[in-house]
Amino acid sequence: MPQMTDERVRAGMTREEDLSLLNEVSMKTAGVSHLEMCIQCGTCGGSCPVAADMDHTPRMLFAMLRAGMREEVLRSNTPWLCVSCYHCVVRCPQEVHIADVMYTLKGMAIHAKLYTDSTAPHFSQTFVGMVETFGRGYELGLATRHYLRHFPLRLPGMMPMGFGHDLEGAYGDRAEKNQTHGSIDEDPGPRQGIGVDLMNKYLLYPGCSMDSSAKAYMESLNSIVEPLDLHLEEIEDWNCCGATEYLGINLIPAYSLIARNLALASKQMDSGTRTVVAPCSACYLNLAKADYYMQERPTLGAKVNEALAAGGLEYKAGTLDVRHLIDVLVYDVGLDAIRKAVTHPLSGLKVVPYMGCMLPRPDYQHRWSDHEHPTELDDLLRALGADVIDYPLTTSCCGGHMTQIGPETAFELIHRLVSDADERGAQMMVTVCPMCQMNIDAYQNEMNHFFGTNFHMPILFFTQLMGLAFGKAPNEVGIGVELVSSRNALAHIGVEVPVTQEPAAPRKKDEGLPMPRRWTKHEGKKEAVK
Amino acid sequence: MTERVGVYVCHCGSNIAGTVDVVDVANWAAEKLGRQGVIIAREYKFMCSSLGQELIEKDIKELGLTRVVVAACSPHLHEKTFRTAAKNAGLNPYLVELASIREQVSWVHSDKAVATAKAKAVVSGAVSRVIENAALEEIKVPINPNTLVVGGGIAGIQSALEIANAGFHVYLVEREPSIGGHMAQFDKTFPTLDCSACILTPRMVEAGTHPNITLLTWSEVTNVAGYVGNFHVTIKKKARFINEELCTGCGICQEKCPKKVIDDVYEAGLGYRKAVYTPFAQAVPNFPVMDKENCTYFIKGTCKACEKFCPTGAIDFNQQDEMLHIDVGNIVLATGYDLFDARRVSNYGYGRLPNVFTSLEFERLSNAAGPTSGNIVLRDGKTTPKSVGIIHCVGSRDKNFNNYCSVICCMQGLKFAHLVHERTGATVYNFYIDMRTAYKAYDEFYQRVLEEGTLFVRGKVAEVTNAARNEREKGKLIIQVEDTLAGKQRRIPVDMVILSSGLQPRADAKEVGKMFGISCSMDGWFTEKHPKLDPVATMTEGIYIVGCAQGPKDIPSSVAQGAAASARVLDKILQKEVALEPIKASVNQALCSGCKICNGLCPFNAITFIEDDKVTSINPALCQGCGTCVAACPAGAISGTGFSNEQIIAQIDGLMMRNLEPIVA
Repeated sequence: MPQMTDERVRAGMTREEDLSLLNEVSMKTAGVSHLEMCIQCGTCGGSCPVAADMDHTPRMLFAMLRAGMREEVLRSNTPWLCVSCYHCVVRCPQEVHIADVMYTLKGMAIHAKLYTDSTAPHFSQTFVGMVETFGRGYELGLATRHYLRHFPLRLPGMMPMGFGHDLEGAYGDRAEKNQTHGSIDEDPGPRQGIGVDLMNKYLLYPGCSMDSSAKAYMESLNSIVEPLDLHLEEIEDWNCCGATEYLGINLIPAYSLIARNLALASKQMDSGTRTVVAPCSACYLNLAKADYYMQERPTLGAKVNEALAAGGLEYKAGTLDVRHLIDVLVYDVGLDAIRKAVTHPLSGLKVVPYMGCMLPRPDYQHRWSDHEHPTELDDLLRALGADVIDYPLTTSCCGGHMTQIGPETAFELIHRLVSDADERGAQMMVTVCPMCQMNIDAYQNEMNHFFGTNFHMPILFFTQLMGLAFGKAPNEVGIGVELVSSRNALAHIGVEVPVTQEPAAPRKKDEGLPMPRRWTKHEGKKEAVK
Repeated sequence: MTERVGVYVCHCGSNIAGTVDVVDVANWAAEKLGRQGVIIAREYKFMCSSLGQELIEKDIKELGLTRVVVAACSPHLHEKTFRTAAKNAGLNPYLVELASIREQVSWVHSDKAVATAKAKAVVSGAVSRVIENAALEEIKVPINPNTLVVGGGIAGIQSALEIANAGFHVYLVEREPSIGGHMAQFDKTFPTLDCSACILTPRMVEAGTHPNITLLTWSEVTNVAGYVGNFHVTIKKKARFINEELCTGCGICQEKCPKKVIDDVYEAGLGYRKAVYTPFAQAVPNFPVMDKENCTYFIKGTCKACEKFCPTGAIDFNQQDEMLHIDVGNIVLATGYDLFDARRVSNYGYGRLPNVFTSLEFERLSNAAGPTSGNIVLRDGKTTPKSVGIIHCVGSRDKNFNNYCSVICCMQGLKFAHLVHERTGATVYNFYIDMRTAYKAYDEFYQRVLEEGTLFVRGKVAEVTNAARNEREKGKLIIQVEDTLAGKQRRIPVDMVILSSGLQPRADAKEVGKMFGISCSMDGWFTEKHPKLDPVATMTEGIYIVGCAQGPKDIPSSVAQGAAASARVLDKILQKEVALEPIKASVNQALCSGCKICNGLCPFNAITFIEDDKVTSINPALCQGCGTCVAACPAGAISGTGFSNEQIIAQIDGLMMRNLEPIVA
């Protein structure tokens, strides 16, 4: 059939093409897209943190898809700006898989060579190229390459990042290390000792960041496994999950890349656990998503297994439980055990809990207390004795890959997070995600420069604060390598000498109207049963 | 074969004929089922038309048919029609069998050849079965003229009054201390803006004082037995701890009670009441109730302030729950709805952000008898909002919550806009997906609100937040939404947000339905007998559903349904007796081993065990022919008329085309 141009569409020849474009996008999307169910309510466009920069809101894009406006849709910058924060996905009343449709449109735009001048396609391709060559990603190298090519003038501002994050090596060393990582001789092996029949035993998928930008996360994680009697066995020969980049380039290879890790992990199940733990939110989401979609779309599962078979691997979707580190700590280890392990309470440290977006959403397995305001991190930090400030932006986006492909968009998002935390009197932000940590830490200086502000908002991993509360020294938990120093913030609690908490001022007599009770997960379950 | 069977295949316009080759089915039946006794097979465009019925009547008379099979729709629709036709022609109506080739064939298949083959099998099964049918006579039982109405909201009150005014007795049961329901909480009603209390309370008083109405408030139905015309109902009258004979409703006990609690029911959690209370000034009856959970005396063993001050000595701390047993002929369920719990939509911040209110909270806020005497203020209790955002479709039309449209929320949102505008002069925004203002004078109200200057934004609100991005947003609630008509994301700072929460089935609707023997839809509303033609009756004869218990609806529709159900009840009462289907189970006592397995299974308590003979017996007046005991009996001693083992086996044989040439090569 001849390609239908927008001119012909406008001339009214829309009927056939109309359906074919919608169907094509639907068929090329992982999972069931539900695109045909859109009622044009605008929940997606209203939820999107970067809607202001989009030429069309997602809702409009879906209307254009129905109208068969192929060229305009594929030239739109909307899919490239999508930060995969999944706010729209969980809020959509019609369950349209919006974020996945965006990945599909990216792939179609690249294929049709119709994307805009955005640097995003190039970034994705660079990332994929790196993963395909080395098996794992390396953010610092990627960022350097990308900035050199597209934003050379911003590079000086990024200098501290290089020194702060990876003092050991340049990109070349790193590549070599990665290349050999998979070989049997030099395989460093699992990080933790393996015991049989251990209660708190998990398969660890560290993810690429834990070795580079989020080293502090890995170090602090290592420091808390012993006090909590946690046993983590690293998945052997794991590879990159593809982050948010690969899914838009080529669907089947992207899912195969993720599923390879699941296949490897399922081989290690005989060591006594079927739970995979990922400390990185993006890795957690990708692993959980692949597992879920391979079940929802059996054809996807079959194709992925065809690819895995080439490497002598197989993964039966649903075999493993994919969970995030904080999920395991809060729900398996439990807040009571954590409270018991605290020797140096963080009393007086004013923190905002920052969960980020990819952790509580889209939540395929219904693991979290809430998609919008989950309280797991709040509860955990309270168990450590910290003063937790209610943070309405706790699941707002840090900008994700926008720091790479559209820094000004990202600065806006970082500014929102940091200024609100500052406004609420936080001494630091606490995160569960390497991407969030890097964006807010490494790009804060640039953001300040861009807005003419002077924020100094350190951001640490929750495991670092756990380590401190368990009595570890700052250098044992990776404190000191962050770019926005946490020294002043931590001085408030003196670390070794806990500050006694001041008695709270007596509350004024409440003359106002009573508030409704807070919604709890418990009530949610009751509701669901009904 | 001695039976003479006639087969009639209906086209139902194109409903059946579009998918099933009806001519082929009729010809096949005449040709292949002759051995079974089929002497005539016809097809006709609409068998249910009077011409179609006459066709059957004529054949019965002229050809001497002894059995009739009509291959048409489900027996739920036209079984009665064809039975009546047979009766008119002098044939026992129970010798007619319906073969459902519409619901079970044409509507569920698309392949014509396969559908036609299946239709033949269904017809064959019905022919084999009808030969085994026995001539039965209807059982007539008298109808108890008393009626039970469950739920004292506007629908239940209306229903009770209509029946009582016709001269028959009604028991009106309400679980709260007063009748009135949700309508008693409202300030104004759309679209006329009548004062809700002003139009409701006269009806409440009428119901409370009517000589034909026994009002049982603070009471709940705990058990229902029997069948249409003869229900036996157990009602728990919860202890009020007030002697109703002595209480004058003076209210001193409430005044003196030292214990203040949040009123979650009548004040929607926005105001307080005492531990002993009447929910509102115009409550019917106006006796208070004592809330045992919160009463200081019940908790600590001392206080009794109410007792000290009561001028008539009406306080009775020793009162016990009372079980009442009543007999009624018909039951009307008017159990109403629950408000959707807006805390579940956490992106709207209800429960976290103080100045986000639910619709019911706003009703209390704007009500002159409410906690703020009708002043529309923020949760601090004093500040008047300068800008208000009203969000539609909260929890409705959303696959994450409730799929359905809650019907009333658009008009409710418009009403709120008008009230805010009128009383505060604030800027009002309404956020909607689709504006649904069907019905009389509704769209005119929309026009009026537009004229008043309310700002309408077409878009489902994405979130309500207090994370300000600039000075303009500081200290405000920011509504983030895509204005879908402008194609842009907007952030609109307001002082107050009102969530037009949807309606949902009562939390205990399923258990209540089970108790009364009726079912719930997927969404949890009670299921009506027919969605269009029988919206107030249920599949259980003698049980009717009205108001929001059947689905979301506004006050006019609830009232109309209440009255409609009463017409149905009066129709039953005036017939004085009801004809029961003679479909009953009976025990062959020679085969009964006395194992008692069936004894506990009967949902109608129709089974008794005769100790002397060590066998089970079934009371035909109570038996509803459900077949549970028939299936459960290990000895095969119980058999159901109309569903005998012979009939079922014959039907299966017919379906399987045993004794026939294979129909598809």
